[in-house]
Amino acid sequence: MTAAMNVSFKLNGKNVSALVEPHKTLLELLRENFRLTSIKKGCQEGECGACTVIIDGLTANACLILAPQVEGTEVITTEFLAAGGVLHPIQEAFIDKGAVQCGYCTPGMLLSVKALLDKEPKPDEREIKTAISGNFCRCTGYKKIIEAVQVVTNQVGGSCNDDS
Amino acid sequence: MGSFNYYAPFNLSELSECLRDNTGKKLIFLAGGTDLINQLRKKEVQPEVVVDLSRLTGLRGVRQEGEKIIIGALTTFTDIIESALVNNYVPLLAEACREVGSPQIRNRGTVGGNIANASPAADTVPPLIALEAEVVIKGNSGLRTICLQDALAGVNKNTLTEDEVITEIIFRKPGSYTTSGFIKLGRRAALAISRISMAGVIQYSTDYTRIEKARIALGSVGQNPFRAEKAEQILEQVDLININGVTEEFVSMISNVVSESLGDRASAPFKRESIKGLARGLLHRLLDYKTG
Repeated sequence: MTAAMNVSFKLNGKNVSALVEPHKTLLELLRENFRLTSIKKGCQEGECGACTVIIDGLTANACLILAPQVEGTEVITTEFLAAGGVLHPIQEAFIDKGAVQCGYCTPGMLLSVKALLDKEPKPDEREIKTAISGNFCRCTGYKKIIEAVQVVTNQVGGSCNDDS
Repeated sequence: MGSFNYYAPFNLSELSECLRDNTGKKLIFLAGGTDLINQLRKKEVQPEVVVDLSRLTGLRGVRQEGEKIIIGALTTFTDIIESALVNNYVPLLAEACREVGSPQIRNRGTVGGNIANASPAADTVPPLIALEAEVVIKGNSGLRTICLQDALAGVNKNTLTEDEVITEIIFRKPGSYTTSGFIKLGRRAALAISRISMAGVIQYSTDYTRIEKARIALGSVGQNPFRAEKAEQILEQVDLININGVTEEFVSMISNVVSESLGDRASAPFKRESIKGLARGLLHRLLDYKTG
């Protein structure tokens, strides 16, 4: 057996550290050590995107990263989006547009959208499709998800702002 | 996943030290991890030591030195897609990187890892072969530079020794009078492993009467990507005014090369036909020198 290593990084805005064996993945570290269960275990081979996290501003599949690799980085999960108990506008738009059905892909999908919007606040449809191309959804057919992104970037009308 | 020790050196001298300390142990290098972590999970590789190269930040980035373009082995696909140098001088490489996996994979996967992993379908390899790239390899006994093809030794096999890592990929910056392109056929748009890919770089004579040099590389039609030299010669032997007359000869030659390479593999009948469409499409783009 190999000894556990100490891994220190910034997780959802807080400095954290954990003792972890090097053959554990980031997916396991976040779910088991930090109980961040928004990150889903899907295909476990980097195809489905259910385990998407943001590391230093870029999306990554947590199943393809060894836990010690995040030493010194900044990791964001979907829990961070609603920090303070208020849903993020992307989350609101997903709910309003019916972009969530079974919900399994949603956390990863939200982070891919966040990473896109942080870089490109007014993406066109092609850019939206590219950004979510590593996140599989087997319910919605993607249309509602794309619409939700367009709502949040005020490119089409949506009900989320109607009440205000 | 089996257990192993993990080291992440911050620079090349720490890497050398780490390699010395672990002499004799079964060791594997980790770059982007997008292939390796799967291989570890499936126990296709069972190392005692994983050496994570991803903190060797000095080996990340694209730069120009004189007439050469140098890509650090740890440059990610996303870095390449966003590199102004790549987009200006070798857009085919950016095209190939855009076709890799998904944003998540492109953000992590590296060009050095793509080469070292030696997949038949490695997306960056055909363009780099067409650019006549060389790889710089560092080991205990120092640096050596070899032609990219010579680093590949079959499916998931490279010619590097246990203590060696790829540090840089170098190629000559294509001059004026050059066109290039990359084309890939996958089963679907995203995350598709390439079923066939093709890259070409064509250098014209300065008066645009002849093709001075053609480099055509094929991917996913053999153990590793390779150059289709016989097809290159067809393009180099004819005056440009007569090029349309040899288009079909070029296309058939590419198809023959694919057929020869695949032998009686189950995919051969499909690939030797479908490559024709790719060959025609790529040649059409390469011959459109007016738009570069």
